[in-house]
Amino acid sequence: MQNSLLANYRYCLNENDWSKYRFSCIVHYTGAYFPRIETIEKEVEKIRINRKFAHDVLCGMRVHALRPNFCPVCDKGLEGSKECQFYQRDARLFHEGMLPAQYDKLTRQFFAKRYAILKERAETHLHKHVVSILIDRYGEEEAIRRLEKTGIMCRKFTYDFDDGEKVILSGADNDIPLEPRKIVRIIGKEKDKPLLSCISEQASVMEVINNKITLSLRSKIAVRRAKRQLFDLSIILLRDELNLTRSMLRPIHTFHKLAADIFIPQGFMMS
Amino acid sequence: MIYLNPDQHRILKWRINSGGIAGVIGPPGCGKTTFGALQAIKLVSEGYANRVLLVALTNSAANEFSRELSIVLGRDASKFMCVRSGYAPGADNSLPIPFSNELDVIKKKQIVICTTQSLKRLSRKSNPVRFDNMIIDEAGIERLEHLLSPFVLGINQLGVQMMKESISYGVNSIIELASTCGVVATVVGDPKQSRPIRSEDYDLSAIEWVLKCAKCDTLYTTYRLPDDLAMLVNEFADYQGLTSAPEIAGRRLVVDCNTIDKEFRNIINPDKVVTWLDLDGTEEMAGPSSWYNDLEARACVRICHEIKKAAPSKSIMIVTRYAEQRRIVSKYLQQLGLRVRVLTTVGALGTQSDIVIFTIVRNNPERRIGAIGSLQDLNVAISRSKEKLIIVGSFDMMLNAKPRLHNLGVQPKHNFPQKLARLVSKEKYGEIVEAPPILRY
Repeated sequence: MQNSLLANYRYCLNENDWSKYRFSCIVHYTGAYFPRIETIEKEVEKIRINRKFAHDVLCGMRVHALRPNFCPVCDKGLEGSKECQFYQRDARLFHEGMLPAQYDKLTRQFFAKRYAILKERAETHLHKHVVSILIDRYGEEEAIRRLEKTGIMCRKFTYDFDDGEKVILSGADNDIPLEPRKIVRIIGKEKDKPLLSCISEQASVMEVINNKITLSLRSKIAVRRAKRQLFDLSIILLRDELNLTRSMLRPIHTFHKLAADIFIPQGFMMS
Repeated sequence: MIYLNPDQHRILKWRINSGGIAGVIGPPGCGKTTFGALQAIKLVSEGYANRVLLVALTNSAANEFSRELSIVLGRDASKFMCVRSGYAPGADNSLPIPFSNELDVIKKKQIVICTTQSLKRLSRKSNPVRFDNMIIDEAGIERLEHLLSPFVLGINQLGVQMMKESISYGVNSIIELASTCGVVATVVGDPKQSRPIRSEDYDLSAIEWVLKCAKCDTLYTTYRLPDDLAMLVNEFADYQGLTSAPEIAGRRLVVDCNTIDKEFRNIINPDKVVTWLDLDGTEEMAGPSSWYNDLEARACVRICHEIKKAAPSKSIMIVTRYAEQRRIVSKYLQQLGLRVRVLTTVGALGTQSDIVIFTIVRNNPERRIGAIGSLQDLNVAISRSKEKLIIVGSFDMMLNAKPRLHNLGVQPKHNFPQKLARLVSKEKYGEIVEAPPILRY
């Protein structure tokens, strides 16, 4: 859904303009949505709330992460994933005051950690946030020039060759402000398209030698896609951050389930 | 032969004979990584554990583990017993320990070294790798959620079953929960050397959680810092008893002063362990949270050039808080063809060098010191050196620094830049040298 909003912005400069859509519905595991007959307002609203949260964090405001709404699958009476069912029962027991004191205490610690991770996730948009602010203030060309000067962005790269998941690009000079292991977004600057909605691919820097930079893309398919879509365009590299939300949340979930297994009497967690 | 000091011996014995999660605090140079490597070898070789996991947050710290293991075990044994897993470009290929992400290969080895972020490769649902014991290094920079990734690989289902049968009412935190679920881990770190990146002031780091909820012990003898520097670090970070090992205490830089240019003699002065080069450069902002100082960068490179001339065998490291300054310094070093490590304070954790040059970068009329004013960053920067520490930057700036306010505008309790400046200005800990004209322009 977020990508659909981005596509609206890319082609119509207005994320709420669905007029250029060539298909009638979006089919997703959460349901089927018909943009033109306004069945997606609830989902778009959720995206806006999440985006506002990220924006407020980046603007330095003291905001609290919101507890997420329950998954739309379960809300509609369908059977959700095991994880989803687990948290629903957990929440139900909490409201009924049935949680043992120790488990309740641990649950609070788990949720505090989850909220901290969500907040950090918001901060991973930092570079895009800076780009967006500068573009609004100075216009795209001047913003890119300033960002290039500060090392957030670098441009004038040309595609040399690729080898498996690696891609080698040549810069215009030897002063490439990137180091190995940094995560970057390779943006193909398209004519008449806003910079942040241009075609892009994420990669990590493997090596920088003189004016040559070696990037590692996620997969060979990503390299093939980038070759077809990106490398004929003017290439800009923007610093990016790795999203570790999922890998950080998984261990918390494992221990939360263990705590429930130990402290909640058998049968309580059954629906 | 590796000899353990009484502290290390006591802690090793304690950790071999006890289960659960425990913490070991190690001030700079106290042999945290060596201790971790030795513990892993002892656990495996004496049959206390079948498979041990060594985890660090950064690749450089994980490589340090590999280095220690290959020194203690030797080339063949380390190749046979150990495997380095994770992100291939981050692993040090010069070490004999093989690299692999193949679970079948990893399962055949007894000691596995990995970074926290790469642990997900080992925890695939269908075929996870289990560990009887784990050692987690540099836990000062990690948060509690980082600790949980390795802990997942140490859960003992039998322990969980036993817990279910006799619910323990002593479990009040996630650390205690993991401990009762059969996780056996030694969490090593120093809250005075590192803080989790981007965390709130009130948010505890992983090591602070362990200190709060589990048993802990401390190492007090440093094998890196000579006496003057150990005393400076002890007083600066308030370690309450950090001392140099007797064989290290009197160590000084040995260099032929006649080969050093006249302008640099006071700076490289081998009689003083700590020298502050008072240089009034101008800070420049780079990006949303980084800074650089061109004059300081050039001064650092010139000093390196001079040291390399006089003592080519000595290892040199340049430390800075800011990634942009590291880039600028690396660029100048590359132009001169000098091979010198340039690290940020985060990257420098767990590393050491004969000579360390610390560039402060910040210098402004408002005396706003920013992120470099923290205890952890300053402590790391001044405690990497084995023979000589050179601080490059404005002394007046540090002496009158206004540290960054906490959230809600609360004034911090301590002014660490000022404390450092005062300690160095005392004759016994170091000397302040005015920058010669050649470095001022």
